[in-house]
Amino acid sequence: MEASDSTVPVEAASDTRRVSRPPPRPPLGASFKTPLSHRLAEKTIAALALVAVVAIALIFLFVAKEALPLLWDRAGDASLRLRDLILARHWPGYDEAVYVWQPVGEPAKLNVVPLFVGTLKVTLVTMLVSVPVGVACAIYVSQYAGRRTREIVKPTIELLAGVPSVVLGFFALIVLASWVQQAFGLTYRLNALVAALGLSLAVIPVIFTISEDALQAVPKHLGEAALALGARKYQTTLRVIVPAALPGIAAAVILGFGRAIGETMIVLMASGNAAVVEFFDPTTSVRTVTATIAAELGEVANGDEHWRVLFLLGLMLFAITFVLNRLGSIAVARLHRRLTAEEAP
Amino acid sequence: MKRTTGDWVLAGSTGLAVVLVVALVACVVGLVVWNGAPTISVEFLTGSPTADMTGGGIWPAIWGTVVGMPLAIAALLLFADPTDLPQLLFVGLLVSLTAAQTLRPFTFGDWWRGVRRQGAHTRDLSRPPGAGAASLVPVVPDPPPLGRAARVARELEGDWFDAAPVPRREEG
Repeated sequence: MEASDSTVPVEAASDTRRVSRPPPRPPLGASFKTPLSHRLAEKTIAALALVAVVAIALIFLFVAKEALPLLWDRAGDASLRLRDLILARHWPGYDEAVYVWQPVGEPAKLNVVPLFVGTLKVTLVTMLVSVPVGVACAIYVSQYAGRRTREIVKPTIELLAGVPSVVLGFFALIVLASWVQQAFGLTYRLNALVAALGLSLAVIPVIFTISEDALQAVPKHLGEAALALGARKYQTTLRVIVPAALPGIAAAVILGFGRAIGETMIVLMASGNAAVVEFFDPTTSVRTVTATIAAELGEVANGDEHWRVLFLLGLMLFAITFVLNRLGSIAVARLHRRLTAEEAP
Repeated sequence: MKRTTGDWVLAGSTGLAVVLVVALVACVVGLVVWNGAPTISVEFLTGSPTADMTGGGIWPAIWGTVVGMPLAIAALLLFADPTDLPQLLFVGLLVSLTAAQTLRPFTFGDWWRGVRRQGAHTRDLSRPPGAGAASLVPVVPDPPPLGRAARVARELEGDWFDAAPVPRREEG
């Protein structure tokens, strides 16, 4: 109605029958005032959001405050040299220079390399397991599952996200460790592999939920166009729908990675907690950064070197997650730009 | 739709992942329920540990988790050393954060749904539906088409929804 009206040429100048226009009224919305309660609620929510940001900043400041005096304020004749934190050292009684975390030894050996090796190994194996499984589940549920299957499977996997990590750790410690040991004939019952599999139980629901949302959010017309052009269902899924959902899936992987690297309880219970420096064999015991902080912070003297190094570990973990999250969101943004073809004129 | 080998491979492999995960969930939940459920009794839930914590109940742990924690934090806030101010501030922030998270559904739930449904208070009525920031809120369906008399009256009066004057058609 309106559109057809506006396409007709207007002959305003020669229009003698024109009725004089009333003075323009203010736009209808201008006189409307948002109710006070709504404005208050809005401010309250904004304040709460600000509180979250401030809390994170304060956590960072608090951890830094405890860790950084290590750089200039080392107690008296301390045997701790800063380079021993990351470089191998030939300790008395050892045959060669070694990386070793032995905080209660005399002298205390506080080398963080074994801990980061453990953390990265567990995280890597976790991601190798849970990214394919989580994304595969998301693809099945969003593309192939019928309505009834979806209504059973989705809440079941999301139930896993609600299981406390101590229960998952318990499961990994009691059940999973025995299964893995029998299946692979391992010497050490608690090792990086068991911890990673247990950790996967915590990471899979994160990856699944977000990827599934991303796959569902792909506009229906993309898939329908591919099907109309003769593509098979699997071709449509793999070449149209999954690529279109890739930014969301990447975000899911980043969040899952953050969960994996920061998870404490499962690795504390199931990883064996021996700080072994072994890069490639996932069947050796590992001691992760988070588990070390959890296990030792309660036993250490306040303000001690060991105390400060534990906070430094937390700071490093914080920095790693922060940098990875930034890189991840940059990658997601770039992917999004590429997929939505914004370069096109 | 005809399913081909590729379809079966993709559906099969992804379906296998689903079966695997669901089986693991069943294992975790099953382990806990199977071993835990038979021990739950009134005495277990309300009693105190006995025999060096190998018998009796777990009421103290439940109390400590559900009831004691907020009380402990409140006591900490009330009786703590004033020199611990930064830490206290931090604890307070965490508590308010948790409280906000917990109370959110009870306080703002219906209010928020109301705003979403009507779209009345965030909608810029001076713009046509679906334009600019107004497209962030659900679009109110167009009103039914006006009759001819109403259309003429509206043309004479000027359009409420456009700042610019609406071009009018020349009546034959």
